[in-house]
Parts: sequence; structure tokens; C-alpha cells
Amino acid sequence: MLVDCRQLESGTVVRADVCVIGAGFAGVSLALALKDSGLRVALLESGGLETDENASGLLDGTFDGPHRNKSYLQTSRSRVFGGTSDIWTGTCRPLDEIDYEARDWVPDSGWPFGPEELIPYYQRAAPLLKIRTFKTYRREGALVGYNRLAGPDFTRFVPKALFRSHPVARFGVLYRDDLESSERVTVYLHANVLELLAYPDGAGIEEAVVSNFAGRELRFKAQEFVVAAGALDCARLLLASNQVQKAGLANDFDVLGRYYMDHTRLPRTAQLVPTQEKRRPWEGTGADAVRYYSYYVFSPNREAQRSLKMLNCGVRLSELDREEIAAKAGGLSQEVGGLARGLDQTVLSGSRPARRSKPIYSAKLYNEHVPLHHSRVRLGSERDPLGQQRLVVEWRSNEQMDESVGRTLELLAMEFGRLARGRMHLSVADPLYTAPCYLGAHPMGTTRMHPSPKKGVVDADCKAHGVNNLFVASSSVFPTGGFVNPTYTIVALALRLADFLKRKHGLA
Amino acid sequence: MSNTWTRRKMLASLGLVSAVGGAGLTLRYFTHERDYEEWVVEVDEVLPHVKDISALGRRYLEQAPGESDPELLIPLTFADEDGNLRGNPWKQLDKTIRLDYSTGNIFRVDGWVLSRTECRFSGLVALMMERGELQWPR
Repeated sequence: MLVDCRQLESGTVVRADVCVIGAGFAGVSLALALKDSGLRVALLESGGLETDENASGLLDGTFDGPHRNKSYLQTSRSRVFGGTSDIWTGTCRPLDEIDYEARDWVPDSGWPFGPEELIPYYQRAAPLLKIRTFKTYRREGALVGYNRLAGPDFTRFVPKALFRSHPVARFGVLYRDDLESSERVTVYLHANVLELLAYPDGAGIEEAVVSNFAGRELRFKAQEFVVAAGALDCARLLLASNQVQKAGLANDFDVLGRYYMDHTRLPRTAQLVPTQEKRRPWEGTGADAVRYYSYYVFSPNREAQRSLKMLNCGVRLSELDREEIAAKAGGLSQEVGGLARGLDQTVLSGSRPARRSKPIYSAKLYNEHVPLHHSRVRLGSERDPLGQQRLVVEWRSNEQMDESVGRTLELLAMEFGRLARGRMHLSVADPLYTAPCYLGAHPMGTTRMHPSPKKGVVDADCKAHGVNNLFVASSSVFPTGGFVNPTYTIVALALRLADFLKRKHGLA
Repeated sequence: MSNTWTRRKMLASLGLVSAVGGAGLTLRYFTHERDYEEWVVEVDEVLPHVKDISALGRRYLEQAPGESDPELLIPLTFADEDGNLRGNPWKQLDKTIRLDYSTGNIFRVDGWVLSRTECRFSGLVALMMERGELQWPR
């Protein structure tokens, strides 16, 4: 059933078994997984079936981060039924094995469980996200490196495919009918949760206070509350719910809102001049199923990351067009091309030099953001039209992230050189390098998972520390985020949480 | 382009090596596995790029001025791991360049990541061009 809360009377009290706040990837997945469980689910969405100015206006706030991302708060969230699935590009990938590990060169890294915990949920998430490749992914048995892309003989890099949702799964469109026709799930549109009211002892949530632009005030009471509002708004809601716990819910040790992460995207960091006649420099034999993948990237393998203390990342190489080459390729590209082709194709391999000009490839980096205590979101002094404090987002990085970028590119250049496939120019090392740093619009980490409340907001079951019936389904629970789009892991975690709630109510 | 490389000219250019180890060494080094004519043909295939290689080599030498000496560069470029000039020079060059990339013996020329040996080879070509021992254009 679909209900427009603007049509309900003020003072209405809604009762459910599970109240899910946010109807994006996580919230809709959770509702779908619970709809036949016997539990009554209230799925609350701030926006409506279409985007509107009122709901979008709630996204404003203050962003302090890379200067090219001024509209970050508006472009990384969407207040509409379906949430950010409405603006998703369709690309995703599971986290790598190393992303779950407590790495001694990455402080505060490590998930409370390993990758095998999520594999069955990735499998279940694949059809929801319209991803067709997971069956093969599992058969290969490899979490790191999807090696049906048989690249050249890299010793330190692994080619990794980014899966494609096809057609792109817009949850608000795809699953509206399923939820609307469900007897046990009710979707409440135009339901802005202002705060979660805890019981006087703070050990549980009694109700969610809801309002909207029609001036209606409603209350939702439930046995379980799941906040699935995206990493920024999950933190915002828990911080704002401070009538009993003054620092916000599950925040006895000032962890809530901290360790905020978002992936950086660095375009034009390097150029590759290929030196071989045939195919692109990174292609081997057996590359197939291109139709299943958005694209693939080169990522330093586990051993390289460990031995060189590098962060996880992906390097994507794409062809520069003719107009870009002169402007953006490094100087001396002709000279280096001449040297490299002269050597690689004659001296080193014995074949004749290519007579036709080869394209130049540009490298774009997709980077891991390390968890930093001082990278955070918090409540500001400005208020939105519903009276809620707006967010202040403070994105912070460190030297390790910069150094890892340079090291990765240098290592990749060495690989291409060793294989006589090409030579690389590193623009990122140039003091005049001006390409902007973009964020991926993948906020994470603000209600991170950790067994201890001193280091996390939720435990390994995504339950808020010290609050028995409060859970979080969002990338906000990620202790680390790898370098890939988090969508696949968000949905997998939501399905896992659904199973937990069913077990909790004896319905597994 | 006509091939103006002759055995005499090749020997003349590689006579730089003789300054290091004597003319006899030169002959032994370059005839061990190949005829001169075969070697000249191979170098000829590199020649279309010699202008580019020379320009790159000049940039390298500006950053490593201590190596602006063919007598220094030839063994640095073509010697094996024991420091000897023997066998097929191109095979040795191949081996050394790949080893450079494997072990991180790299050098950056204006942001380009190159094998140190490639840079030295380019530097050698630049010096030969500047001394008139390589003809360009042919």
C-alpha cells in the first residue's frame, strides 16, 4: 500500500512491527525481503513518487571539501521514492577481500567479519540490482580480481571488472508495484522523520516523530526501527535525536558522524603511450563478456598493497580523442613514443615498428578514502523549513592518500614498461597539475560498524550500541569503503539485516 | 629513406666503444652473435625514431649531466650484470630494461617514467647525433 502522509490527519499514530526510514536501495531491499515474513513493515520516505522542490530543498547544508564539489550535498542524495537509485549510473562491484582486513598501515581499518559473510547476500542482491554476472563471479571463486579478463602478465596489478546494472535498476519504479500490492508493507510518502524518541532509559526507541510540508505531524511506533536514509542523513537523524542521549543516539564516545569517507576520483592523472601494434596495451586473450561490464580497472594486488603500504584503488584507462591529446598529454609524448616504439617493437620484441599513429590513453584514478576521526558530518546552526538543523560536512584527507596515488601510478608505469606495452607520463606529480578532485557521491562510515561502542556506532549486526531496537542499513556502517561504488554492498547488508530481524522474531 | 648506414660508419660510431676497451673488443662484442650487416639492419629500424630518441636523451642528460660521456654511457647501457660487454647488445639491452622496470631502477624525465637504461641509451644517441656520428635526416 502507498500512503501520502500529506493526506493524513495530524496526530495520527501508525503502528508497525518494523519501521524503515528511507526508501532507497537499502530501505526498499529490506522491505522486499520482509514483505512475506509476516512482519508489518512501515517504509517511510521523505519525498514523493517524483522529485519536488520542497524535498530537494532539505538537502542543502554546508560542504567543506574538494572545491569542485560544491553541490555535493545535492548530488549525493535524492529525496524521492527509490532514493539515489533514481540517479545511479548503474555501476557497482562487491568489496575486495583486502577491504575487510585490519591493515596495519591503515589505522581504524577492518570489518567485524570477513568477505565470506556477505557472499550469499551479494548473490541475492544481484537480481535485485539487475546484475547478471554474479553467477560467473562465484564460479571463479575469486573475490579479488575477476580474472575472466585475462590481462597481460602483470605481477603487481589485477584487472577488476565493475559490474553493470542493465537496465539500470531504478528501485522506485521497479519495485513500486511489489510494495504497493503487499499486504504487510505500507509505504508512507512525504514522511520526514524529525527525530527518534528514545525511552527514558535510552535503551530503546519508542517512536519516530514525522512531519511534512503540509504541516501534518504523525507518530510511528514500532518494535524495530531501521534507519536507511543514506550515510549523511543516517548520521544527521541520530545526532538530532538527542532528547534522552544528549550527544545523539549510540554516541557515548563521540563516534557518530565521524570517520566520514567518500571516494575520490582523479581524472587525467597519467597518460599511457602504447607501443604495440595490436589491441589495447592491457588486453590479453580471453577478454569477453564486455556486455556485462561497465568497464574494468587495474588495481594493485594484495601483495603490492601490503608490501608497499598502498591503499586500494582502481586505474581506468581510456582513449584520449585527437583534440585532447595535444592539450592534455604530457610534453615529450612524441619523443617518448618514438623511443618506446623504437625499442619495444624492434629491439625488444623483434617485430616491425607500427607505421600508423597510436592513440594515447588517459588514466583516471578511483581511490579509497581512509577512515579519519576528524573527517566528519555534524549538525550546523542553520535550520531547514521543517526546523531541523542542517548538515555540515567536513571531508578530510591525509598524506597517505596522496602518496598512494603517486606510488600506484609509478608501479603501473613500471608494469607497462616491463611488459614492453607502453610508457606512462604521470601528470599528478606535476606541480602544475590542475585536474579537479571529485568525490564519488558515495558517503560512508558515519555510523561505522565496530564491536566496541568506543570505536563504532553499530555492532556487527548493524544494531546501534546500547539501543536494543535501533538498526542502520546504509553505507554509513562501512568501517572502510574500498574504491568501488558501494551500492552492491549496501543492498547485501540490507538483505543480511532482514535475515537478522526475521531470526530475532523467530521467523527465519 | 635510403639506408646510408655502412659497415664503416657503424664501426666509426661504435668506435666510441674502442676508446673504452680497444678496437678488438668492439669487434668481439658486436660480432659474437651477429653479422655487422644484420646489426646495421636492426639499428636502421630504430633510426626512424632517432630524432625523437635524441631529443629525449638530451633532456635526460640535462638532468644527469654527470653521464654526458659516451665512454661512460656505453658500458652503462650495454654491459651485462657482471659489467662485461659481450653477446648480442640488443638482447642485453632488452634484459636490462626489463630488469630496471622490475626492480624500480627508473628515472623520470619531465614526468615520464622510464627505465634508467632507456634514458642512458637515449643519452648515448643524443651524444652521437651531436657529434655527427649518426646522420639525420638521411
